[in-house]
Order: sequence, then C-alpha cells, then structure tokens
Amino acid sequence: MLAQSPFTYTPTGGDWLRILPELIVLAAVFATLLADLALPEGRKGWLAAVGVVGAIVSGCSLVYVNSLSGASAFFGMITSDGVALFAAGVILLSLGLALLFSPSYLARQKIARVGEYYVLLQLSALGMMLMAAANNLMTVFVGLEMLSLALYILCALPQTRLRSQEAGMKYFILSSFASAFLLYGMSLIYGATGATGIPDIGRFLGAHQAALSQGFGPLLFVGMSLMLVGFCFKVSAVPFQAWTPDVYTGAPTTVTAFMSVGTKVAAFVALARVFVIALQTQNAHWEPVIWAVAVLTMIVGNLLSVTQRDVKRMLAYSSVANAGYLLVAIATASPRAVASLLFYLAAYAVMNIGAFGVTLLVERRDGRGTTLEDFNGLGRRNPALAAAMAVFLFSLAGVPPTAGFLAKYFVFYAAMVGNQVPLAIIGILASVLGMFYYLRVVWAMYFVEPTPGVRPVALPEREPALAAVGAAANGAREEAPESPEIEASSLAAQAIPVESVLTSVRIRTSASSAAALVIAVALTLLMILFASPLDAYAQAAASALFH
Amino acid sequence: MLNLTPFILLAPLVGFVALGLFGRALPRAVIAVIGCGVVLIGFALAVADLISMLGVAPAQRVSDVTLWTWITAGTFHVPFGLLSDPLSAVMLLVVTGVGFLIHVYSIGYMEGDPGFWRFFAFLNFFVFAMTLLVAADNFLFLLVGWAGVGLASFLLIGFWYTRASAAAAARKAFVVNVIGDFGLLIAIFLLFGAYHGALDYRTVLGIGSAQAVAPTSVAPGGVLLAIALTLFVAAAAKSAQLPLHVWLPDAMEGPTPVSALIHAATMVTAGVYLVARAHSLFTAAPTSLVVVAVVAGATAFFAATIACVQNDIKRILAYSTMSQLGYMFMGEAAGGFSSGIFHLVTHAFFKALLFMCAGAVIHALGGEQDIRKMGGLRERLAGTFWLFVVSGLALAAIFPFAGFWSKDAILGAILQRATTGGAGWYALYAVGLLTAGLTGFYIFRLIFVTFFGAYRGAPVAAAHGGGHAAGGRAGDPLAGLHLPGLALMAPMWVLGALSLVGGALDLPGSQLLSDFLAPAAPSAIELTSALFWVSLAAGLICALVGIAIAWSRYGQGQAPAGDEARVGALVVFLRRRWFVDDLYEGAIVRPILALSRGLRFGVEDDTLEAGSRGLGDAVGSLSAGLRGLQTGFLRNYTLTLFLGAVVILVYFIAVSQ
Repeated sequence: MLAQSPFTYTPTGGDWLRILPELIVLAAVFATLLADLALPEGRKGWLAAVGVVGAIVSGCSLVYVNSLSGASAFFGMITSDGVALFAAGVILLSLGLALLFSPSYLARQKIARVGEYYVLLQLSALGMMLMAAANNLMTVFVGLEMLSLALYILCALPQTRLRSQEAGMKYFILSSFASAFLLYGMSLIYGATGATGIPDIGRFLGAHQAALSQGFGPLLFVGMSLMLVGFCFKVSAVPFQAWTPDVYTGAPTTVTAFMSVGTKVAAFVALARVFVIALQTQNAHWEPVIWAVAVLTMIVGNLLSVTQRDVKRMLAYSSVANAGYLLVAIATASPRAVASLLFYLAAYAVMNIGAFGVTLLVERRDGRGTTLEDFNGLGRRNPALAAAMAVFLFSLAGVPPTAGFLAKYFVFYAAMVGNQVPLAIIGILASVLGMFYYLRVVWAMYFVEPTPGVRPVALPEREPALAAVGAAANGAREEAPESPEIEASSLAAQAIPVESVLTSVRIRTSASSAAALVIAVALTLLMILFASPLDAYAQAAASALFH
Repeated sequence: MLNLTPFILLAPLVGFVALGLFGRALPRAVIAVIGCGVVLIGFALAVADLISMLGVAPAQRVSDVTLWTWITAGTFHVPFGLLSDPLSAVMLLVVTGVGFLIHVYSIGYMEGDPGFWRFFAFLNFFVFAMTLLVAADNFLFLLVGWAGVGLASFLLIGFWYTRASAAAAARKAFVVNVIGDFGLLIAIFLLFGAYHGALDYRTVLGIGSAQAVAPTSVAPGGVLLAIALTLFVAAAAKSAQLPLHVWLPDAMEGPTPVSALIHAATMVTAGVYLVARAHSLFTAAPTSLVVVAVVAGATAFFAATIACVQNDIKRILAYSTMSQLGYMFMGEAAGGFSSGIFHLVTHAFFKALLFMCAGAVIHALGGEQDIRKMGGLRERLAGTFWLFVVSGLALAAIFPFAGFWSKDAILGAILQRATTGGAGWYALYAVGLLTAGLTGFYIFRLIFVTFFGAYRGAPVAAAHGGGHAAGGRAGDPLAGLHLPGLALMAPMWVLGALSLVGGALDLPGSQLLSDFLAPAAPSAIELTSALFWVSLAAGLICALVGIAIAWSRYGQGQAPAGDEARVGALVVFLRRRWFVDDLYEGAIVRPILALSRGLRFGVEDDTLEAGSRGLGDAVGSLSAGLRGLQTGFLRNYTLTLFLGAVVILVYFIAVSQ
C-alpha cells in the first residue's frame, strides 16, 4: 500500500476545475486586497461588493462543477462530490449575506482596518469550503486551521473593545487546544490504519475487522476519541461549548453571524465524512458517545438559552442547542440523516444569519444594546425589521411553514426511521424550550411598549465573561474606556439621559442590509416551495457518500 | 381541449392580493375596475373553456392539468391539479358570471363605505376560493377551497365588524362551517383508507378514467355509507340544511351583495355541487340518498314555513334560499343530479336578483329592512318592482320563468323515482308540492307588502349626496328616497333577463344542460314523458294557489302585523323558527359553556396552571444553576474541555478492552 519510490503527483486540468469555486473565492480575495489599495478611506464599503460578486460567481461555478463527472481531485485529497458542493453553496450564501450586512455595521461600530476584515472573512469562507470538500484528514485539518486563524483575528478586530479582544484571545487559546486534540487523534488513526484518506481508512477498517480486536484496536479507539473531542469543540457541543457564548458575544456581530453558520457547515460535513463514512464500521463504538453528547448538547444548550436576556447571547447559546439537533443526524448515521443534516445546515444558515442581522441593526454604536429591552416595541418602531425578526425566530423555533420547521422535521424524521426514536423524542422535547426563548423576543417586539424615557446607560448586565477579564484588568471593567468618545457620551448620558432616547429611535437600515434581510426572509419563508428538489439533491449526495 | 382553469383561478387571486396590499391607497374607481375586471377576465376564460369543450365529443370533455405536486410522502401524492369537465365548467360560469354581476352591483351598493377596498379584496378572495372549490381535481384541494369560502364568508358576514350582531353572526357561520369542514375531513380520511391513499377524482370517482372502479368493489357498504354521510354533513353545513342551517339567516348581517353572492348564488350551492360531483359514491350507498332526501325535504318545508312569517326582507330571502337548496338536494336524492345542478343555475340567477332588488329597496330607504315599515313603493321604484316580480315569479316557478323549468324538473325526478320504489318518495313529492305552494305565498307576501298599498315607514332622510334623491312634493315621506343608480340597475336587468329565459337551458325536448352534464352528472327523468307534464301542471297549480292566498291577504298592501292575533300559536312557533335555535342554545351551547367554566376554574386554575408554572420555575432555576458553570474564566473552560476529553477517552478505552 505504501509506495517505496518517492511520491510525485502532477495535478491535471480536471483537478483544478474541481476546485473552481474555491479558486474563484481566492481570486476575489486578491481582488479585495487590490481594491483596498485603490479605494479611499470612507468608500471601503465597496470591498463588500467585490466579495459578494466573488461569492455569486463562485456559487454559479458550483453548477458547472456539479456537471463534471467524477469527484475526486488532487490524489484524493479533495472531492467535489454533492455534499461538498451543497456545503459550499451554503457557505457562499452565508458569506454573501454576512458581506451585505458588513459595510454599514463596520461604519457604525467604527471598526478600523476594513480591508483586512473583508479579506479575512473571505479567507475563512475559503477554509470552510476546503474543509467541507476535504477527503483526507490532512485537508480537513488544513481547512480547519485556515478558517480558524482567520476567525481568531476577526473576533478581535475591534481593537479598542475589550470584549472583542477577550473573545479573540479565548477563542485562539481554546481552539488551538482543541486542534491539538484533533491532530493527535488523526495521527493515531494514521498509526492504526496506515491511511489518511477518508475512503482509504474506511476500506482498511472494513477489510481488517479481525486485526482490530487484537493489536492496534486501542490505537484506533484513542484516536477516535481525541478526534471526537476536537470536532465537538469546533461544533460547540456540550461539554466543549464553554467558549461559544463568550466568543459569539464578544466578536463583531457580522462575524458572529457568519462563523456561527459557516464553521458549523464545515465542521459538521467533515465530522460526517470522518465518522459516518471513514469510521462507519466502528459505528457501534462511537455512536453511544455522539448519542450522549447530542442529548447533553440539546438539553444544556436549550436550558442555558432560557435565562439569557441578551438577544445576541441567547442566539449564541441557541447555536449550541442547534448543534445538538445536528448531532442527532450524525448519531443516526444513515444516508437520509446526512441529507437531513445538509438540509438543516441550509435552513439554519438563512434563519440564523437573518436573526443576527436584525440584532446587529438594533445594536448600538458601543456594541451593546441587544438586550430584550432594546427589542421592546420594535414592532411599533420598525415594523419591517420586527416582522423580519419574527420570521427568523419562528423559523428557529421550528414553526411551520418556515425553513426551520422543515429542517427539524427532516432531522427528526430521519432519526425516527433510523432507529433513534429516543433521540428524536428528546430533541423534540428540548426544542419546546426553544419556543420560550425565541418567542420571548417576538413578545418583546410586539407586546411590550418601547422602553420610554430614561434608561440607565453603561450598566451592562453581569456577564461572567467579563469577570475574567475584569480580574485581569484589576476589576476596572466598568471604567475601562472602550473608546474615548463613547466614554464621553456615556458620561454625558449619566448626567443627562440622552443615550436612553436611542431605544425609541428608528433604526436606519442601509440598502445592502435591507437586501440581505429580504433575501434571508424570502429564503426562510419560501424554502418549503423548493424543499423537495433541495432534499432530493441532498439525499442523492448523501447516498453517493455511502458508496 | 383548452383548459384555462389555472388562469381562471389566478385572476381573482391577483385581484385579492393587489387590493389587499395596495387597496387602501387606491382611488375608488381603480378599486372597482380591478375588483370587477379580474372576475370578468375569469368569466371570459370560463366561456372560452366552455366553447372549446363544446368542440369535442362528449366522452372526451374532461381535462385534468396538474400544476405541481404539492405533497409527496412515501406513496402518498397530492398533486395540485385542476379539472375541467362539464360540471366544473357550469359551476365556473355561474361563479364568475353571476359573481361579476354582483361585483358590479357592489360598486353602487358600497359606494360610501370606508371599507370599499377591503370589501372588493374579500369578494375577489371569495371568487378565488370558490373557483378552487369547483375546479379542484382531488378531495384535498376541494377541502382547501371549502375552507377558503368558509373564511371568505366569515370575513364578509363580519364586514361591518364594529356591529356586535355582525361579529356574532360571522362567528356563528364560521363555527357551523367548521363542523362541515370536519365532516369533509372525516370523509377524506375514510376515502384515504378505502382507496389506499388516493384522493384524486380520477381514482375515487372515475372521472376522466376509461375504466372506472365501482366503489362497491373497493370498500364494504358500511364504509361507503359513512363516506357518503360525512360528505353530506359537509354539504349540509355549507348549504344550510337541517340541522346545520342556523347560520344562514344570521348571515344576513353582511352587506346585501354578500348575501346575494355567497349566501344565495354561489357558496351555499357548494354542497349541491359536492353531492353531484360525488354522485357515484352516493349511488353506491343507496341508504345515504334516503337520508339526503329526508333532510332535504324537511329543510325545504321547514324553511318555507318560517319564510311565511318573517318580516325582515333579507331573512325571508335567506329562508327561501334554504328551502330552494332543499329542493336541489331532493332532486339529487331522487337521482336527478343534473336537475339539481339546473336548479342551482337558475336559482343563482333569480335569487341573486331577489337579493339585489331587496338591496335596492334597502338602499332606497336608507337601511330599512322591515317590510312592515315599507309599502307603496311600486311607483317610486318601478324598475326594481318589476324585476322583483320577475324574480318572484321565477322563484315561485310560474310558466315560463326559469324556476318553473328547473324546479319542475326536480319534482318530476322525484315522481319518476316514486314510480319505481316505495311510498316514501310519494310523500317527498307531496312535500315538494306543498312547499311549492308555500313558496308562491311567501314571496308574493313579500312583494305585496313591500310594494303595494301605502307607505307605512318613517320619512326617509334625504340622500347624503343628494344626487339620487327623487323629487317630490313637500311632506312626502319618500322625498328622500335614494334611487338606485346605473351600477345597481344594470346587473339587475341582466339577471332579470336570465330569470326570464334561463329555463331555455334545459327545456323539455332540447335538454341542452342535461345532455351537456350527462357525462358528469346523470339525470333521472326523461323530460318529455307524460309523467313530467303531469308534474309540471301540479307544481304550477300549487304555486298559483299560494300566490292567490297571498293576494287575498296582502294584495292591498296590508301590513302583516295583524297575523299574530289571528293564528297566535302557530305563528309564534314559526317566528321562533320551530325553536331550533333555542334547542341549540339549551342542549349544546349552555352545557358546553358550563363545562368550560368548570374546567377553567376547577381544573385549569388549581391543577394544570400550578403544574405548568411549577415546571416553568423548575426549568428556570435549572437554567440559572447551569449558568453558574459559565464562569468566563479561561482556566475553567480548559478544564471542562480536558475533563470531557478524559471521559470520552476512558469510555473508548473501556470498550476497546
């Protein structure tokens, strides 16, 4: 199996064609870099347009790549199979939506280094696409690192904002730790099977069942468990979810929106490839672990969301809960379940980015102001915005006929027919809690009067996340000026309550943000219309994976 | 063969969406043009469909287009398909044609209403739902249209929602209609079981299928009977048959065009359509037709008796509608399905016209609906009067008006049926004749009291615009009469003409309609038989007797106030509508309310509320507890990561041994 002669491989034209979508995104990255040089300060928002065009062109190229025969490329390191293309489509859609929200948000939050922001956002998307298309443990890891490194920087991009710095730092340290687990696990798997290619591992394990029980079984099992830890961290499954709320809350909201969706797509597709496909024969061993993690994640994720009064943070916890539903599909491990996983990811992308999108429009200049109180009476102040938010929240809660309902339906249906009935029941019960915390925002928007008059400013809710930093900063959390002008304004506000008026001010929505919201609402509501072809494509892609 | 049905549906839907979204901002003229225009387009398309249908051989007059597959679940498919066959073609023509005239009438009638745009949006929605109902090619989309017209009816009865009585009437109609929807749903479940998931007419009813499967070979008789009866529950609720009729008289709270369109001409005939559509199921379970006959006969007689003592002009017509619907079902029960549809068509003409005339009178008198406060309007509202007479003669089935031919086709069908089976059908025929007499009586009572004699009401306030006010000498109580404008009168003339000559559709000898409908709805009677002529004569005599009695008592325009003193008990009995509403109140409404109160205060408060609150509190405290783990300290997070890894590792090592 292992060649003795020095390894050489010459890529063919076909290889390059199969990574055409990735190449286009890369080209857009370069174009963004160049455009950044040319555009004057203040017009950097157009960089988003470059990225959006790149995402659209890349998305169109998916159709072409889909028509190519065969999938494997670059000596089997990468595949352009249906699953990869589906995931790439979802990632590109998320990228496009996040880019549309960005210009006005960055301007309002006064985030400097706009050029880097756009470049890094696209690079992380590239990493996600690579990870989702990886057909080899090595490529999985390269893709993962590519997306993670870009995200570390993006989280910490608002340099003057302590919370963002904290988020970036935490994410970096914990994620590196988890990556180490993952890499170690991969090397042990290589040790046990002599292969890093995902199909090769599967083939080896299928052929050597007997050998496993003797010599190198433990090697495989330890490798599996370490990889599982790494993946569970990346998809923020309990008990490896602790970083999620802090990082998601601290990062700029556009970044949160994108990473909450994109990393899930990439990591879950890779998880499915590695565990459901490569380690298919070991299903009996890893299935109980994923089962337990899925149950924990669904229950704890939903329970923790219940007490959140900050919408951004609530959405962060809800992404943990959603990871739980997706793990149900992994635990079921049937072609139908993998198809439902893909469908869920697509639905989750539009509704979650949409919900974050509304949240970032409600957010104030100082990066705060996303509590429930800030949503009070939004239905009166901004009917369109509130209606959009309501659509997203109903979808997240799984109310028909939205995309979120269908997604949950497919996942739980796959679990029911895949002999995971208890898991489906637990999932459905856990998602009942979701009704409470999602619809509470709807209630605030439509049934509560806008918070009138005086509202104490600069008294952020007690966030444990900050306690840590607070300790480091000698407990000077409240006093630590995030930026001189904001400090000034909040001081002024304490004297004269001016800032408080903000809650009753109409929120201005830029054209690009409005476009993104319209697209997200339309997709959330209309997915039911093209659910059959989408699901059929996912099913075909998933069953191809199993052969 | 052309099948433009999708576009017939689309036109009113576009109108509804356009008016619903932007109507508020549009000028009235534009609203009127859109609202009427889309229905006219639908009518034109329906005519085109009909012409192309007439161009092909009768056996091929079925066209089924599938627009898309709505649901696919395992082997269960529900396509969104539309059927064009003679029956649906006739229904579509009635719905869009009469519907269009009523739309035009509404322009005049609703002239000053602030909800003008809303009214037209709802009317267009109704036309859409009704066309869906009659054009669907499977039972599930029938149900969609069925519920849709129920919703439209609710919205339009409660159109003046600030009136408590209108809101209550709307609610009542909705509740009763939902009972019918429920019946239809049960029927669909039974069909689903019997036909292994097939709900399309092609499979179930054999429409457009070369080798139709006999229902008796599919399901046992009991199931077929249950299907037919539950379908009839649906039909009875929609078509106001006993005992689900209670909503129709109250529905007169809606604006008069609504009464004309929904509660006389089209929606209430949905039940008649359903029975004709599913006639193969009904004939396969003969007992069900007996049930239909009994209910229909009882309703026809019951409603006609009540109509004789009502004093509200619209309520008289409402009861008359019930009674006529009873006729249609009687005809169908006797196997004359095409006769039922024929009467449906002519009834749509003359009953819509009656309501329009009543609307014109109400409009003229500034909202007065009590016939005791009318009288002597013959000369002032001459046009309306003559049209009222024409439509009244059609309703009373006097030669040669439309109703004469259609009603007597039904009576003939019953008589034909009676000659082949049982004495019960003779009894039904007798009820039919008796009701024919009552019909002549109550409708001419209405006409005489309203138009003859002297005016008895309060002086009519001058028209707000002044434009339509009739000139008159000072002191004339009718000086402020609002004369109906062109928008009101034009559709009335058209319907008047149709009421006069509508019978030509199916004259004995030519039988245009029965022949056309033959592939979709069989007829029972050879209309040239001697039997039929006998029946014609008998029906005519009964109606003339009824009119003669009405003339003798009200011919001079006497107010009907004196009645009660003379025949006391019977009239009170009829006035209270045979105490049916009171029975409902006592036997159903009150016990349910009492039970609900008991559950609300006894069970809900003490047991369930406490339980669910406790559960909520438990979740809350659990959540707060878990939140404590989220310390924010990096070292803690790392530790949990590490511990989690250890647990998983230990597990794997354990299983590997």
